Amino acid sequence: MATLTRQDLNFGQVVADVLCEFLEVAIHLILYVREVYPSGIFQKRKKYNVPVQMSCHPELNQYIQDTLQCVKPLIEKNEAEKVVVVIMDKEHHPVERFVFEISQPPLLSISSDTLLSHVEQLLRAVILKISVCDAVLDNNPPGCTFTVLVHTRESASRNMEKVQVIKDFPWIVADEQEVIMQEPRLIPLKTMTSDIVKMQLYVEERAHKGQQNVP
Amino acid sequence: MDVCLHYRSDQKKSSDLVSICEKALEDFPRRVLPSFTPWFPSTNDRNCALKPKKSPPVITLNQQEWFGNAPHQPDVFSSNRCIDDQEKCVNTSKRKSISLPVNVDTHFKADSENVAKRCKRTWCVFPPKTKTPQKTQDLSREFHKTVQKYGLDLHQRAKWIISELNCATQSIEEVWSKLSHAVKHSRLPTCNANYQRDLFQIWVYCDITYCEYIGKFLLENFQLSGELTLAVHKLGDIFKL
Repeated sequence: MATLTRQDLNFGQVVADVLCEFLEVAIHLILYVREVYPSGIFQKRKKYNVPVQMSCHPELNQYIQDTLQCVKPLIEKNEAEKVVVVIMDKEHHPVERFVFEISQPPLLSISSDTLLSHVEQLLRAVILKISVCDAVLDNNPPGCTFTVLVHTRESASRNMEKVQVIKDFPWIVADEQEVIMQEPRLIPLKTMTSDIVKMQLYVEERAHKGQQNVP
Repeated sequence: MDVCLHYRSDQKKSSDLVSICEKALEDFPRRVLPSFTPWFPSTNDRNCALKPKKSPPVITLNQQEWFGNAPHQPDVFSSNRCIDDQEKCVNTSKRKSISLPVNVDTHFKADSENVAKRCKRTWCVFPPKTKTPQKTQDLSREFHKTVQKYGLDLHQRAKWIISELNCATQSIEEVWSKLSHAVKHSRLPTCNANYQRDLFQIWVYCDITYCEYIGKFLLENFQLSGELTLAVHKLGDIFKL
């Protein structure tokens, strides 16, 4: 097993590829499990050797792909601290936040086996947790929508240029009301530690989903 | 301030005692505590979050129906694709609704039959993990006889079969949609269901003790017509409602 630094083999890119692929699967599954979109637009697929649900709505799929395409450079440079899928009610107040906290070790000990099997096993476990998370979460109010937030390690304005990868897909600094949730319930779902990336997933759930959450 | 020092006269010299007193009066070593930063919600969160300006699409139920019957598109998980030239100008201030083709009806009719044939897939639905009510259901005399005749256990699984014939006033897809919703929201105790698209049947599994209740619920709430058949593994059809 060789010990490599982040610069070797453009390792950040490999990690970003793995994570963005995972996040795409996770976002589709969250939208299905939390009923943000009608179940009719989802179809069963297989990823990481487990069944998952994927939207067959081209515009939604494109939106998710574009979002992750923009997030990828930040992950590649280890500048993304968290990727958050926020589910919001009709008034655009968050009711649930699926927080993917990402950390990458400075020194990487890898082999091809590590990448191909171990990481996949860990990601599969996270996916399985998402697929059953509705058992521990309250139902969301009707008419919910979602957004994806990226928390950067430094100030957001510094990273604004890095995230503007796609023409006509601009990024803005998120509203405070989308970021802050008053007195949320914290539900840890899964942590994973591999040689290339550490990640923890938890859900922040608004205490009273039927009521507005005005900070 | 007075300082009292109690000492053993035979052990200590007076100069030692003075130095002990001086040490005792020195300030305790102190360390500066790190300033407390709450990890949740952190102030960094307020400053460092970015989001796409564009809102995700809104999909209404009608559009969902259309998409459910639209020709299958090659959907693969791929985060590597970036198609700038296919990006459309969008109104970023509000959430965007999908506009459908004008000839949706004709499109729908033309494709629905083909798609139904192409979509040979089964689909399962499970209830959320909630406690099953402990209350036992009263069985009718007729059903009780059937249970005794076959020597069935009350917790044994059985399945109601909903076929296309039971869906005279609606499509079996609509029944499946309603049923999925009911199972997911725990309205059907002990139930899970399975849509056998290749057989044009829906199989609703439940415990024997809830069979009659479930059967009546299906007939009444989903406006099913005709008779429902109850089948048990190895025994086949044992009861009709």
